[in-house]
Amino acid sequence: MNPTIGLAAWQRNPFFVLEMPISASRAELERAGQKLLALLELGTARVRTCQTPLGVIERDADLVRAALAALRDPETRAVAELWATVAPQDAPPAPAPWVDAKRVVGWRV
Amino acid sequence: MTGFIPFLILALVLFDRWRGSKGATSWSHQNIRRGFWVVLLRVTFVLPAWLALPDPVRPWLGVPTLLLLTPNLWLSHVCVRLGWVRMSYWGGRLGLPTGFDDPLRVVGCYYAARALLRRPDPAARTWIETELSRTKHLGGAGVVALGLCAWLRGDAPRGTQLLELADEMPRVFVGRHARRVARDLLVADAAARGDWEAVIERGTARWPLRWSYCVARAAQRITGAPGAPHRATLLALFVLAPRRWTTWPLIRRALSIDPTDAALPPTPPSPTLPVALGRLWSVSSSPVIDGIELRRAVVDVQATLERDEDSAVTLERFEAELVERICGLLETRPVRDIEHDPEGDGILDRALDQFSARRFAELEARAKDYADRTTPERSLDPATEWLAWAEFRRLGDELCQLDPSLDETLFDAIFIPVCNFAVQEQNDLKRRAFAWSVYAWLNRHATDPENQTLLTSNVRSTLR
Repeated sequence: MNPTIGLAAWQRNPFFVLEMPISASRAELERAGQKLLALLELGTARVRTCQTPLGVIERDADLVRAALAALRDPETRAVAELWATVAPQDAPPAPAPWVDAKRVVGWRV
Repeated sequence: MTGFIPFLILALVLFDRWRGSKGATSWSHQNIRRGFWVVLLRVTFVLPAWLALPDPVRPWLGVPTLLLLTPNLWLSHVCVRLGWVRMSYWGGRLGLPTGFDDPLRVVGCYYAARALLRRPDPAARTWIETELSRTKHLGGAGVVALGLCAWLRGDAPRGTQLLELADEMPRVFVGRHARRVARDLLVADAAARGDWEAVIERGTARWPLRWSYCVARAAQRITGAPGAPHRATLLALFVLAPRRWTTWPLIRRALSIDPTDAALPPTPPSPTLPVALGRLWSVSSSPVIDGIELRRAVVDVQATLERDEDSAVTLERFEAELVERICGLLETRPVRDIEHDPEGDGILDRALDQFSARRFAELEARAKDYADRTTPERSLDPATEWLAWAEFRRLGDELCQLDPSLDETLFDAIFIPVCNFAVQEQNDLKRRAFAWSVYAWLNRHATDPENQTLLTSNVRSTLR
């Protein structure tokens, strides 16, 4: 999914990227961000991905810096807090796909 | 036996002349004549030549002779199945398989692309695309080959659109063989994604084919769609369809479902903001967005925001971001059953307005490109033209599906440049299949009777 368009941008909410709650203070957010940047610079594999309420995302230094910059502005932070208050719901019931369909017609994927 | 052959040839030639004099328009002269003469060549020369061989030699050349007599069979069931890309290509070029309205190079590419599905190889795909770009004419099989290459390249929307183009062509341009490949792949792709509505729509389309029709009817039982078949009907379709062994799990699943048990989902209570946002996320994550569920989710979000949020600035910015993100969603995912109220001022209606405006501008720009290329020298190679046309059609279909009120406006904006371009392709470059596709699409969106008459006449002209 293209991370810059559609609701995929939602997954990259600054609070998700920093893995911090919306109640965190500015100092706590800065500390968390700097810690992540240091770990990313060291090449720690664990921090290259993060689990969000909306699935797993890839994380890099640019994303962390963008998250920190966004949360420094009060209005942007208020909007990000709204987006971050998501409580994931079960998907609407739908018939399961037929996963072997392509193999049946000879398509080796 | 051999004495009878000259009379047979004379009878067949006279029959062919008689058909030509009647101006048969339901079949392409080129198609039927090529198939006719090729079969004649095989029966009157290849077979007698083999029969005339001395006894010790004849058995050894039995298999090669059989291959020359029935190239369609061994190409499909041996070369393609085993994934022999080059062998498929050369067999298609030299073996003279029948049932194609394409040049032999393109027929070779068609079989090679099918073999590539069995054994994907980026270098071979690039080679096939290069071969396709060198040809002057692409019929239905060529469009199928282009679609398969697009899929293998990872461009699924383009590939799907090209295969749909091929499937919708009349029999003059695409034989049953290539149509079956296109339709089966489209149905399989939709079933693998869980888009059962697309499976039903495509499988029950015009000129039904056994396997795709059987899968579509099974999908009707699985989803509880209207017209779901009885168990006996589905079993009968299954027995008549090919690939029974591998399709049985789907049929068994469909037989185990009683379509009358499908219950409507309960209406959820008024949610809080986190729940409303969660529902919006889950709806937007589906491979095919349900427009009704999307509208319900967006309305819930808007209602909870107005209820809970105090800051007008925050609310305004949030709504603007939501509109932008929904726009992005509409550009990347298919949406069904969405109703656009042009007068509405809800978040979803604003997103639809923004999406429609952007899409309309893009289509106008593409139509202008067609208007600028009014000489044959400025026309691109057939493969590129088909790819561009597939994209144009996809953009237009999505726009009209989301906002049917724009149908007439869009048509007025693009009709002249696009139609003129198609006329040029047909008259100067003899790309009849391409012109047919353009006229037929424009005719679907035309509302003025005069335009409809003109386009119907143009469609007929491509079939002569």
